[in-house]
This record gives sequence, C-alpha cells and structure tokens, in this order.
Amino acid sequence: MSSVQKKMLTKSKKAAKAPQPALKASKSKPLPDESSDEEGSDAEVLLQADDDDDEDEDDESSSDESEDVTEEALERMMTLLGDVDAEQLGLGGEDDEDEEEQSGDEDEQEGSDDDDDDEMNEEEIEKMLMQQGSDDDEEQEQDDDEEDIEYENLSADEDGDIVPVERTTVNDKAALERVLASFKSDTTFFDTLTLTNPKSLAITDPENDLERELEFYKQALWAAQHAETLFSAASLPFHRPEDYFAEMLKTDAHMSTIRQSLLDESAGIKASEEARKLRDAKKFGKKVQVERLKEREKEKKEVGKRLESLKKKRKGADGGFATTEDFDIALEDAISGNPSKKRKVVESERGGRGKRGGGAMSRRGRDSKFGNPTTSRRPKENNDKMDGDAFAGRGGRGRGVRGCE
Amino acid sequence: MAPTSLTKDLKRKRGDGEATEEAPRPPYKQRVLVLSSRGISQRQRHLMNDLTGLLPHAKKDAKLDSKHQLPLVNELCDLSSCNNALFFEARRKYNDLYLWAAKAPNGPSIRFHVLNTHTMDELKMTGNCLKGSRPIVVFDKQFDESPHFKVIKEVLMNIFAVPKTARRAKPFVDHVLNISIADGKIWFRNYQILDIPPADTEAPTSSSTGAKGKAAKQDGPKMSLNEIGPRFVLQPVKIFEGSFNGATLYENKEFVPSSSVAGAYKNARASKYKGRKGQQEERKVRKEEIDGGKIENELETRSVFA
Repeated sequence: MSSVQKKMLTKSKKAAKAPQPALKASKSKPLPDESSDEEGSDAEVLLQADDDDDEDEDDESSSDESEDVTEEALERMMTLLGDVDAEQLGLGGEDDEDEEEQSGDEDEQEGSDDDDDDEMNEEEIEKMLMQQGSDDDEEQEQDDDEEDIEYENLSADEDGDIVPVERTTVNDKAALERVLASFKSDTTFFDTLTLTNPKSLAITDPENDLERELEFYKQALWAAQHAETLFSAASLPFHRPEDYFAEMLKTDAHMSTIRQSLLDESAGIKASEEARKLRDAKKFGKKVQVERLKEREKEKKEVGKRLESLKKKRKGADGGFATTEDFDIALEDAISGNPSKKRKVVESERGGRGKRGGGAMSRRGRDSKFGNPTTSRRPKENNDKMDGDAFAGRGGRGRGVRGCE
Repeated sequence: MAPTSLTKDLKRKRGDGEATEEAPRPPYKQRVLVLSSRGISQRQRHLMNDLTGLLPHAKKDAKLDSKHQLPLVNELCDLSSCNNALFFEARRKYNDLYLWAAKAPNGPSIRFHVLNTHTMDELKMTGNCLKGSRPIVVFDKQFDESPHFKVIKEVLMNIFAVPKTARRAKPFVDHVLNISIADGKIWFRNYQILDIPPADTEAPTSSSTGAKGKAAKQDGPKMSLNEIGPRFVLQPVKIFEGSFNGATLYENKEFVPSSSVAGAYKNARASKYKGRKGQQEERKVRKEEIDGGKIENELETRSVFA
C-alpha cells in the first residue's frame, strides 16, 4: 500500500506539474527555498503518514492551500479504492500522455519536486485515475527498469493511452452445444436436400475473386453431381424435363434483356476488333504508300542523272550514237531506267550503222508513240499527214519536243 | 446410402405388426417469416424480395416500426405460425444492413452484418430457375469445426432448405445454394444446374461423330452451373440464446461496427490538430521557463498589449 501510495504521489507530482503551466511562473521563485528536502525524505514522511497526520499538515501548509490535498484525503481515497493493483493503475509503467512533458520537466523537477511533497490535488488524483483506468485491459510491462524501452517503443504519433486492447468476447462453447442439441432436427437427405462438402475449400486468398469464386463453383458442382447420384439411386426425378413449364424466378422479359446485353457485348467486341484491324491495315497501307512514293522519287533522280550523262556524252562525242534513233532508244532507256543489255551491246558493237528506215521503229518505240492516247498530248488521230494541214510542223516539233525532253 | 425414410416406408408396407425401432419422427416442417425494419433502401429491399422468391415456405410481412422492440417479431411469427424468422435491420446512418436469423419461439438467434450484396437483377447473373423448386444446399466443411458455426449452419439450413411439405414447392431440382466460409465470413451463392457440359471442356476426339456420343465418352462434368443470384456475404456479429433476446452465446472478435470505423477515422484526423496544439502549448511553457517571465523592454508591444 505504501509503495503504491508513493508511486501515486510521485506520479501525481509530475501530473500536477504538467497541466499547470500558468502557475509555474509564479511558483518558480519560491521554489528554491524548499530545495532542502529530498526524495528520500518523502518515504519517511509517508511511512509515518498514519501517525503524523497533523504534523504533516502543519509543516506543508506553506504552499497554496487551494490546490493541496492532505495526507488524510489521500488515505481515505486509498481505503475507498481497496486493493489497488499497481499494474492496473499503470503506476509502474510510465505510459501516460504526460510522459513526454514529464521527461522535459525532469530537470526542473529535481530542483522543485519538494513543492508538493505529500500533497496532491484531489482533482489531480481523479484525473490521473481516469486516464489510467482506461488502460484496464492492456497487457503491460510494469517494471520501472523498462521505462526507457517503453518510451522508445512509443511512436511519434501514437497517443500513449491507446494500446492495442484484447477485447474479451463471449464464446460459450458449452452453451452453444447445448442450444444446438435442443433445436437440432433429425432429418434425412431427402427432407432437407442438404449436403456438406467433405473436402475443405482451398482458398488461400479471399481477396482473389477469381480463385474464390472458382472454389465456390467447384463445391456447388460437386454437390449437384452428388445429389444427382443420390436421386438416381432412389429413382427420383432430378433434372427438369424440357416440356415442363412453370413460373420461373426471373421473368421472360428479364431473360431476354440479359440475352440482348450478352449479344450487344459480343457484337461490341467484334466491332472493336474489326476497327482495330482496319486501323492496322490503314497504317500498313500508309507505310506501303510512303515507300512507293520514296521509290518514285529515287527513280526520278536516277533518270535525271542518266539524262545528264547522256547530254554530256552527246555534247562530248558526236559519234556516240549512230542515229537519232539510237539516241531516242538510249533516252528511252534512261527514262525507263532499265536499259536492255541487248541494246547496249548492239550500240557498242555497231560500226556506225544502225537501224534505218523511215518508219521502222521498235515495238517499244511504237508503243510509246501510238499506244495510250491522252486527251491533249496525243489524242487519237486518224489523219493523213500528207494532207499538209495543221499537222505540218508536227513531226519535227514532236521530234524536237521529244528530243529536248 | 438409401435414405432411411424410404426404408421405413418399405417396412410398413411389409406389414410389420411390431412397432418400428425408432419412434415416428415428426415431419420436417419449416416456415419462415421475412420482414424488414423501416428505413430499408432500394437495393436492400430488392435483396429481401429475391430471398422471399427463393423460399416458397416463406411469408413476407409488413415493415416493423421500431428497431428497439424486436421481440415483437416472435409474436408475429406466432401469428403466422412460422417457426423461423428472417429480419432485415437497416441502419440508415451508415447504410448498413443487418440480418437476423432466428428460430422463432425460443431457439437461438443470430445477427449478421450483410456485405457485398448483388441482387438477381444484375445482368451478369444469367441463370434462371423454377420459382419454388427445392434447392440443393451445400455447406462448407468448416461449418462442422466450431460450435458457433454448427449453430449457424443449423439455423441457415432450417431457413434455406425447402422442406418437402412446403405448399408452393415444385418438383425437380433446379438450383444449388452454396454457403461457404472464407475470411471468417459466410459467402452465399445461388447457381442454376444445367444439363449441358461446359463449353470449354476438351473432349478427346472419338471415332463416333455424334455430339451425344462424345459427351457420353467424356470424363468431364456432364453438368455446368450458371449463377442466378442473389449473392451476399454475411459476417456473424452475435449469437443470442433466445429469439431476439437472451444471453449472448458468441461474439465475433473481428466485427467492427461502422460507427467505430467512422469514429476512428475522425479521431485520426483530429489527432493532427490536437498534436499541433499540444506542441504549441509545450512551446509556450518552455519559452516561459527560459525567459522566466521577464520583460526585456517594458515598452515592447507584447507586454503593453498583453
């Protein structure tokens, strides 16, 4: 009892100091006067508390009376409380919410802890008890040696009072069994159609929807199959025949809505797939188009180069080409981009004699001249060039045009 | 295992003059009274209606006015000669639904917290079944492992398993009710039994070309299931000895009422402010201790306008 009292008093001193910041300023001056007393003397005073009540009161009436509680009051309270478990009040473990303040005030206290030696404000006691009463159900380490450890264990944002509580819940197994026996009815399978799965469900993670639902499905499927075998063993009808019509749980209208939504869903999926295919093909087609354009540009450049080389040749060596025909052919080759080997060989071997003859053009020459009529450049014509009409200068001009191309 | 009821009938037909070994059992009769409290929301009401449709031996009653006079339900059950009750208690503040399953006159009652409800109307539930057909009810193995689950199993069986004697019961077995335990909660599922094997069974190609021939040679399941709904999760809160009254026989440790969840959230947010204010107070105290309350400059604004 005395140790508890002592603990309570030391605690209360700390508790009394912390919530009274306003008064500290006034107290700080008279404090040094009483620094003669020590902690050790407290114990003596307490031990003699029962005998020396009045003396104590007289001695320590120097401080303010209004906030002091007499030793008597403390004793009365202790007797009222009865057997006080130090652990319950949390006196051994320092896990009040005032602890942080207390540790901060440690220095000050040593100089001034004698202020309220054996006196406690009654309200302070009650307040402290209220705080500690809430820790009733906690598991605690109550050694004073573990103070440091406990403080360290406290996290910064955790309120010291909030300790994980093991809720005591009711689970009266005997009563449950008794109640079960009282109302359990004796039934067969065919009365209730109830089965219990002999295998336990293998649900590792209840959050995994797919797994969980699959396990439920499997259990239900097993039950359906097992029931079917039992029914067939007892030669009772199980499946609903196709022609048995009766009211269903869901209306036909609702079922058609469901069917429609399923169809819509599948149609939507198909449509999106088609769209995706088209998009991909378009992209691919675009690629192809771009490539073709690039190729055409390249060809044009090459044609240009060949023409340049031809021009240089013509300028340089007149005898490069036996006839203008050959030049035309060479031109054609340059434009078309793939000179036939045959021609080249013929050109080089020739001693200057090539194809002559007024109208004896090669197949290609004739094709490019007469095939594929265009509206403006070379429309279809069936005119007599001998007539000497507007086509007089055509041949030369045409030639000239073609030559200068 | 031939059912004992059939063998008993056979014995009687043989004309045994002697009394049978067992005393004649009372026929298995159950009737359920389904009702709700006031303040039930639309979705919860649909759930209640779905369950009433599933149970042909159930009778729907008017809303119960007060939530604090639950033993009235016992009297209502007596009036309609029901020996089970399903009471939907709606708590408007947190949009909670609690389900009471009770054996009416003096049996135990269980309070559940209903979570994750999906009604039959949802378009994902594609199955359908006869209204009033007797279901196959299958329970998880875990129900036999603890006494409180045994009690829960018995009560749920009495409610959800349709007895033969129900007036609106239809023949043939159409659907399966699956009641399993996962994560300490009870999961309820309702499936339609289809006689067709599932679409993605890989049947080994056989010489016979007919589809039926193939199915017969399959080793796989010859039936498949389609979910009908409704589906919900029940978390047992408490088991009481009496019907809507009596001593608590079992309390669920893991149950956290919505009010404390909301309160904890609020406290967490408030503690920030409290902490800040506490630190400010501490700072004030420390400052005063350091300064000792001395005023450096008497004309300083802080002291003049203290």
